[in-house]
Amino acid sequence: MRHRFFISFLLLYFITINLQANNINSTSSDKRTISGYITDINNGEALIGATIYVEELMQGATTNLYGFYSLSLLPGKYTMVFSYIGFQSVKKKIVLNKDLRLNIELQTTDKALDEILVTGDKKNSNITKVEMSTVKMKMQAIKKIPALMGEVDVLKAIQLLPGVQSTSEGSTSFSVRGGSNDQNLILLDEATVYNASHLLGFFSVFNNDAIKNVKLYKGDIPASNGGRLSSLLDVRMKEGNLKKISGTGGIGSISSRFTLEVPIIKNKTSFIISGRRSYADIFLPLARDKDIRKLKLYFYDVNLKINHKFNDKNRLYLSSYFGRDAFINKFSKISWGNRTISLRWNHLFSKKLFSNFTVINSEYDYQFGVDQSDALSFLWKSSLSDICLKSDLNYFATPNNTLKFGFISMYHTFNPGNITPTNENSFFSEFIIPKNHSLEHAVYISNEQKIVSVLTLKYGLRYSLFQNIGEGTLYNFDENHNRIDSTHYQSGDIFKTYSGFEPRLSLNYILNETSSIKASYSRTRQYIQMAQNSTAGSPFDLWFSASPNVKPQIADQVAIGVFKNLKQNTIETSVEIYYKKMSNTIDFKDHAQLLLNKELEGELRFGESYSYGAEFLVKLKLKKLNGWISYTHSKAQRKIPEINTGKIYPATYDKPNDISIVMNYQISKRVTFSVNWIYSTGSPVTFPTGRFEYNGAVVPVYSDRNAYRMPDYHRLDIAFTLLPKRKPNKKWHGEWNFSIFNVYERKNAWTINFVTDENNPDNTYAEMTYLFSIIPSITYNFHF
Amino acid sequence: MKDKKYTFISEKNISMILIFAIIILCACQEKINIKLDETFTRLVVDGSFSTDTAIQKIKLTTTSDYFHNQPAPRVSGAKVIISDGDTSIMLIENDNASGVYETDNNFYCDKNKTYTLTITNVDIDKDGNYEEYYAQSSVVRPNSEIDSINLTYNERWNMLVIHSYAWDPPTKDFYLMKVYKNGVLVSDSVSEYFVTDDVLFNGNYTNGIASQFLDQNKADEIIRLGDIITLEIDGINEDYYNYLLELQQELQGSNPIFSGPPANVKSNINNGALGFFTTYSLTRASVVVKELPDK
Repeated sequence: MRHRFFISFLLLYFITINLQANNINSTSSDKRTISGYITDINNGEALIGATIYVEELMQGATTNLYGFYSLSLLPGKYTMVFSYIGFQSVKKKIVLNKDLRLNIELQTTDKALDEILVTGDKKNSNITKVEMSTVKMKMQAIKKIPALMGEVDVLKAIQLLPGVQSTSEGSTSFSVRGGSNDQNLILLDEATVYNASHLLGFFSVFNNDAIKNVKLYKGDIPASNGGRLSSLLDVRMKEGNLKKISGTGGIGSISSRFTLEVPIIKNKTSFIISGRRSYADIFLPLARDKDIRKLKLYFYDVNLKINHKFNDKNRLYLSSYFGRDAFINKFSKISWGNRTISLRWNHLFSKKLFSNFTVINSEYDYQFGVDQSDALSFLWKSSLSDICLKSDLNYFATPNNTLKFGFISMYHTFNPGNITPTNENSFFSEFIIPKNHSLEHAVYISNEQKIVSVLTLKYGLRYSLFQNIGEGTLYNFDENHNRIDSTHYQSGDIFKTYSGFEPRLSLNYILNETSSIKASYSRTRQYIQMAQNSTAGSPFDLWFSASPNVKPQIADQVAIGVFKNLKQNTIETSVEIYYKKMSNTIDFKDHAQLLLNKELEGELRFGESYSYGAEFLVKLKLKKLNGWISYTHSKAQRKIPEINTGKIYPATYDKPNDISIVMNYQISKRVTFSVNWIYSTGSPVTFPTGRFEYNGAVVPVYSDRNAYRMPDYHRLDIAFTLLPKRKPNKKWHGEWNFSIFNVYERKNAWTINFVTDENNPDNTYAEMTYLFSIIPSITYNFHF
Repeated sequence: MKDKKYTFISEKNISMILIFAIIILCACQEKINIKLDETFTRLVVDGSFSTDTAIQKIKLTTTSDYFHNQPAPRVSGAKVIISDGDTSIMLIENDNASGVYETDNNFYCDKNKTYTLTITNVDIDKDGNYEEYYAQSSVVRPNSEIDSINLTYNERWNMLVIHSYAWDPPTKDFYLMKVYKNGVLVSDSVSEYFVTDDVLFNGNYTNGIASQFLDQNKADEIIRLGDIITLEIDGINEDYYNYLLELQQELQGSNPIFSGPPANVKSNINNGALGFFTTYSLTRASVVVKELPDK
């Protein structure tokens, strides 16, 4: 039944495309279409979410992810206003008596004056747009936030938003509205990034200089995306300057980076390459300890992108990311990294039908090896890879209806791990966990419809289908999770199929120019997840898929929000309340062995989880003072019958109170002062409530799971950004950034261990490990 | 079955290496005061009986508050009976060591028999009524036939590696290995036990597999010429093997990057008691140190 739905949808899909391609304008012959691209005049970069406003009709549209817009109107004379935050608006009078092509280039306003932290598209777009629970961040703004070791980081910045929490001190892994870290879909130019962290999670893989746009969906995830329960982080790379050669770079205390943008054919083809490497290990030879001197510890990453405009209707983008971390000491080497490649083709079937076709390959792997000369030598490798084909179409039916539809097909290959001895006399023998494969498909359709001028609806339906496909080995378990036997499937055998609908619905009711009420409901399904029971996450990520033993996770989320702007839209305030229920939640049995375990599925325990919360946000967009204050009150709990004797327990990322204050103040044209202060309730932990002796060792007797809390977390960071005097006619622009992390030296616990005193085995005490005391840093950034 | 051997690679080693990386970067440690709740008192049993003919002991203690900071309270006056189904023996409390109950000097566990332990006459929860505790040990496992051992020096770790040469039975077996220096147990705590299954050598000759270590950085493990080094291989059952692994995991500390949530170690004694009752077979082999490693 469901398969038939899938096939008929695909048929419908291609018929629509054909109809549109063959019968341009036949569906609305009385209307004329004005369409085009909106770009930055300086570099030709497409502006995502720029607004087009028709004054006479008091109606408008926004550009899509590729800067394209399309509006179909009755013939007539109109005044069009094209605008984008940080850019000077352009007003054009047009006579629309035939289809019109209008590409607009916008000029930036004086950056120093109009810098805005979190961008909106129109001054009150937060009120008028139907989407809620989303935040768009501009790279310029992220760069002003004081950062750990001056290393500005997208993932650290989003953790300062309401409803988003760091899972552990200093970590880039994050939890959105009570979801776990692996429930976030992180896309870089549409390719999944499986492990977005460098250096054990302290820095993210995203190089700011290569990134153009970051948007986080905490709920109300568009029907075009799925596969993860809790959030979508959509990161878009810069396209590359189409007009002139330009460069960006920086020298920091952890890493340095350089980006070069080259127009190969002006206004047609451009190329961007961006690289970054850490150099902490350069200083290691200065260490006193000779073992430390021999260490190597680094990461690097490279972003590449080429794009070519064939004509007004066709444009091709090829983007790629690869990065790697390595840690090498005198006897072993550990390394890990991501690689993504995406090839996209933008095609205009008609002035109203915009399409994008994408082919993606995304990979993550890690390896750990011990030197060949050692008797304990071995090489352990694990990897996963995706091949993905997708297509997204936008049909700009009328100014009141924008239809989006498309499909995605993915082929996952998981190599959970294999160990091979690298020396004949190795103590270890070969150990291989069989690879497994799966297919994940989805089709979707959604429409954003303005019912009346004050009420906009966005509704969509996604249908996803997941299949385990051979060659693979399935281990069968009894009700006590003990393995009974295993079944081997031949290549191409489909041995389990899951599928289901994922409805999405949101509405916006505009109360007046400065206030609105929004509500949304979404269902999401997740078929692949990470086997990880630590809080911070490690490079040894192991993803595994749904299977006959593991049901897909499902989340239902409802949210309602009130949005109100004050002082001519310079202060935005909002309150959002959400409730999320997740079923088939996966947790792990006590003392689970997750890595290098063929019977991983026997370590899993299933139950449900739910979370709810209220998010308060005040955003300032004043002339000199920009930033936000957010407060989140939330709860995230789990109930797994076979864990904690079936009692409800708080999820490890449950932090009931969470406050972030992020501000920057323009002291003068050349000096900006930024500050952020964060506070959150300590994360839940399991502590001993008693102890006993066994064979000379003092062994803890533990409380219920997560019955205690770590000490509360708080920290203040500050930064100054200094622009040297600008000399006229100089192309080189420099910028100094001085920052102090953890100004008042709060010792925030990273972990608390209970240890036995070596000198007196009867004595036990609690020992806290903290990572960062006060850390000053200097970064120099430049662009030309 | 689970290839627990690789726990050795995966969790301990890697986390040690990477945590080291973090520590050289920035971590600091300090003692802190934490207020912990109290929990109810439970009986703790520490009893392992071997196939060796000897006085064999069981120790009964109770749990205490976590920061009790004194030796565990002993449980005196209990009636402790061990039975193989045919005969039952009552253990006698040692006059000089309260809470330690002993067999006479010709007790040994019979291979292929199942033993039960019954503890009565104790009132741990102080409600005025005696409780009864019961545990059963699986069949005593066969042991490997140990031929010999030898020593090599590993310069990188500055430790002596004890290699064993033994035949492993074709069954699924589990081993606990301990080392003695001149008759004194050197691997004297659970963390120093070497616990392994037979995945790497099932049914085969172990052919010099690394079985225990003498850390030459530790005073009590440094070897001298003429020292007698003895390797003890205990054939243990799977339950006890899992118990020891869980215990070792809980004793090694945790960190947010690699550790899962801590959890109680599962006991095989009923009625909420902790600890373990087990039986095992035992073999030993010795070697005399004839040369010292070049350092």
